[in-house]
Amino acid sequence: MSALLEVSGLTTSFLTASGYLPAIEDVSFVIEKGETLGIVGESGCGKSVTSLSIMQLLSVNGKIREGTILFEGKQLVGLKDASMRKIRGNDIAMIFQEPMTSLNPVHKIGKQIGESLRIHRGMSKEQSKRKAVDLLKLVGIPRAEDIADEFPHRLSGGMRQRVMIAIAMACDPKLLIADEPTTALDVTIQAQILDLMRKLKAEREMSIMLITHDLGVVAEMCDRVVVMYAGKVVEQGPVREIFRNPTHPYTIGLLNSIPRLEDRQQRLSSIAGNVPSIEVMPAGCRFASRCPYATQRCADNEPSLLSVTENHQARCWLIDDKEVAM
Amino acid sequence: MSEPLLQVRNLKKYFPIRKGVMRRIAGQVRAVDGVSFEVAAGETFGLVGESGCGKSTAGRSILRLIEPTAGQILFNGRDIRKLKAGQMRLMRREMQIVFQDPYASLNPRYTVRQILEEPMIIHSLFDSAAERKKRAAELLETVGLSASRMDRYPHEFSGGQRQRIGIARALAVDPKLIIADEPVSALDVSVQSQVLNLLDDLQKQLHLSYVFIAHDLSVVKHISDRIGVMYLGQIVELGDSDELYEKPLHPYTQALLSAVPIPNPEVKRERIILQGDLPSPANPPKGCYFHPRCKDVMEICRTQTPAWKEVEPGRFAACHLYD
Repeated sequence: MSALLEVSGLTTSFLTASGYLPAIEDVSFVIEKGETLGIVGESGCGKSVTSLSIMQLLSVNGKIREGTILFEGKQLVGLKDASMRKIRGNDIAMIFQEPMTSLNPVHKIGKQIGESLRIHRGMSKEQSKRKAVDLLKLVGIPRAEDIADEFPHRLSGGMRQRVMIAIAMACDPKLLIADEPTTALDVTIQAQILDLMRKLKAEREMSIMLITHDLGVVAEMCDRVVVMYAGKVVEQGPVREIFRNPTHPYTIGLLNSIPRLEDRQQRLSSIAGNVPSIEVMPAGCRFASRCPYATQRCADNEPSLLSVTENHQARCWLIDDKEVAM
Repeated sequence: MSEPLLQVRNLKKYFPIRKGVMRRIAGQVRAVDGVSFEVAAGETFGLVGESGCGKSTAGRSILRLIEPTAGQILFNGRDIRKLKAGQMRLMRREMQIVFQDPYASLNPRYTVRQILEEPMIIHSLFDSAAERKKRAAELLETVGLSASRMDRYPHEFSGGQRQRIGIARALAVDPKLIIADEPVSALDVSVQSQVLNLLDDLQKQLHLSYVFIAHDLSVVKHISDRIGVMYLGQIVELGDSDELYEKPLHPYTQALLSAVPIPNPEVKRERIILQGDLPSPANPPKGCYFHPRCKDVMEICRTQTPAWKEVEPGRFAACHLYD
């Protein structure tokens, strides 16, 4: 396996009333070819900013301040708009959380799916229309010919998300970024969509970057996981390793706070407090104020990503202490 | 068992579909179509189902926030559908609601203190402002917020804290029953567990009954004693929450349970993937409403509505498989 996408030291800041403030800081990870990488975290942890930075779709007040994003060895940071446009929707495609708002309500579905084919592949209207119907069949939409001539409001949420996936699939992307693709959907529909994504990934050997807050979805879909907290990567590693041996207290807390169907818990454990705000980030470890194991060292100094095992890292002083103790 | 606190019998809510200039009634959306269940004092009854199944409409109809079309709602043995507006208002002291969206359900122009005092004023609970203030402070402490933040506005609080304020407001009039409509679905998991634990603690302290409405099965199973599973306006299965999970009777419950992603990569299980989408409640299928998506569909399901029956002691389902 070789790296398809390599993000290193990525810092993205947003202009606020108090100047540029970083929403994500020093984010680094790799996505291999054919792999599904999960990015997990709660709202405001910077997972969406990470994906928008890769796609260069940040709003005008957002800026990549530092770091590199290498896609197949090519640097995306600082790439001209025209060159980026050639990659976007072609080599890297994205599906968004809201299937209700991310389709254009005034264009027919077939036309929206065909758009990237006309732009990137130079197809004619008729060609792109025919391909759009094929794509709709691929994502399991019944009566594809008729649906291609419908407007988005005629479809249910699950169907719209299938259309979004069809749009993303149009140019056979090498990397699919899926930002909370099933959050707005019901569980039974979520199961359909996840099943479809798994199937497409296997058929087309594409890589997926799956952004979600749902650890159940991660466990089911991903090969590796990156856990983010307050704009930083706090833990990363293979999915089984993370679930079997979570090391960062935040990951442990997150795993313990989910109610589980499979057994009866009298009481859920929870993480006290709230995520610190971007304006008043603590100096040391960002999780220290909520961490049951925090020491003075955590409050003063921020740990770097330390190795737990060969391919499992966590940003926590506890690992360091364990080594010392050993 | 003593008399249940709340008995809902054959509750129906149909919304008319109006068409044309004359606004004539062209059809009906059967949002809630014959729902029956009971809630004992101190019990949590979970109503679970996917969007559009009518669970929220059911919850609101019970409080008559939406006027039900038919059915009986007995609270402490009294049929509250027969109450006049003034009597109903008094009744609402006993039954309160907590809403889903902690951002939209608190008045942004009121301070937290005003939000909490409003129900006390409506129900003329205390004589003096000082007493009300004292009670508001108590309520905030009860839900785990500092009373010193009483004079702040809702926007100064996080989502989880706002939901706590919403709960405190419901508690302000000392209700016996709280209908919680998706109280944690807008919250992150770590905060969600804080609020679930709070609801649990309050139930024990104040001997509250809950009707807990949610789409997330694991949350509902965690908090509820008994669960009703809704599909297209009807309860298709009802039973003890552990038993219902161990051995779901209705094929819809089976599919719903198998669709929940399990946060453990080592567990692989058989998944029932339902085909298609939820049919429209304006035009439900003939026979069993679930039959077009059911994996165990039989001939009889297409024509005859299955009867509601006790399949095992305490376990009810509406399905021809158990005829």
